[in-house]
Amino acid sequence: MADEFETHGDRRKGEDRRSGRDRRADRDRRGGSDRRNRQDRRVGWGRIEDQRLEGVLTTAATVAHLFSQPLTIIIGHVDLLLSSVEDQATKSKLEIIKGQLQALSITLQDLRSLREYKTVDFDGFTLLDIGLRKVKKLV
Amino acid sequence: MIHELFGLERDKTLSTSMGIEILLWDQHRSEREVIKEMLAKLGCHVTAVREEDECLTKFREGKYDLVIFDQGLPELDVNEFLEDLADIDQLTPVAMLATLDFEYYETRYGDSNIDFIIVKPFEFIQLQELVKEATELGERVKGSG
Repeated sequence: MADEFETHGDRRKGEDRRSGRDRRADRDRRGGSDRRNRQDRRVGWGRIEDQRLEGVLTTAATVAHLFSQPLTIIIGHVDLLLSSVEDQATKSKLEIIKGQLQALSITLQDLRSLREYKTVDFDGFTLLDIGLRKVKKLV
Repeated sequence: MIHELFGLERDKTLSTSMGIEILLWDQHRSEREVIKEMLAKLGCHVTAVREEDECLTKFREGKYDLVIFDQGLPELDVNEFLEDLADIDQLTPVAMLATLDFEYYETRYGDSNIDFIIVKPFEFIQLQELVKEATELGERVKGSG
């Protein structure tokens, strides 16, 4: 039964209301496995969600990689100091530094473990959802 | 099978790893020095080198209980390096210092002769655990071989 737009329930415009079959070429228009147009099939193009996830994963891996070395060196020296320092006040400050470094390590681990693109609203700003609550608890 | 070493829990006791011989290859001076100092604190004898060739030469000439190398070089062919190590001695445990997700390395190097992966940053306790497990593995492998 036709509706008020005479579209018989199909609200696409007339020129878009083609069947899947191309009668002239006698083939299925939806045949190819990659249904993006030629423009979008260029390297680096694709669904926005996929591109976002890929960008996020690349950034996360890069950050994790670059931060790992300086953190290893800092944590190593803090550990060495903790094992040799006698003064209690210095020791407790080192313990605080170590705790914060552990919080950073956990964040790096969360970045490495990222498998999906999820965000959280942080006072009107969009942040990646990488266990922010967990970090907040530690700080 | 590659073992991942975790260690956020605190254990203040330093291991009695006296006399354990470790070959450490790390191109980054600051990192190499701090890891060497940490291992020395655990009672290990550490030979620390900067270059791959130097590492292979030392490994050929000496007797080690554990080889630790840093994977942090983009141009490093890990598999080739591991094959070179295995050509000299395949019973010595090998540990790789890495920066990405453990699962990635398990897929990529699961069949290689890497025995342990420590994802950076790590702490004293993880190095201590590594030395302990590597010593046990070395004894087991060499005992059965």
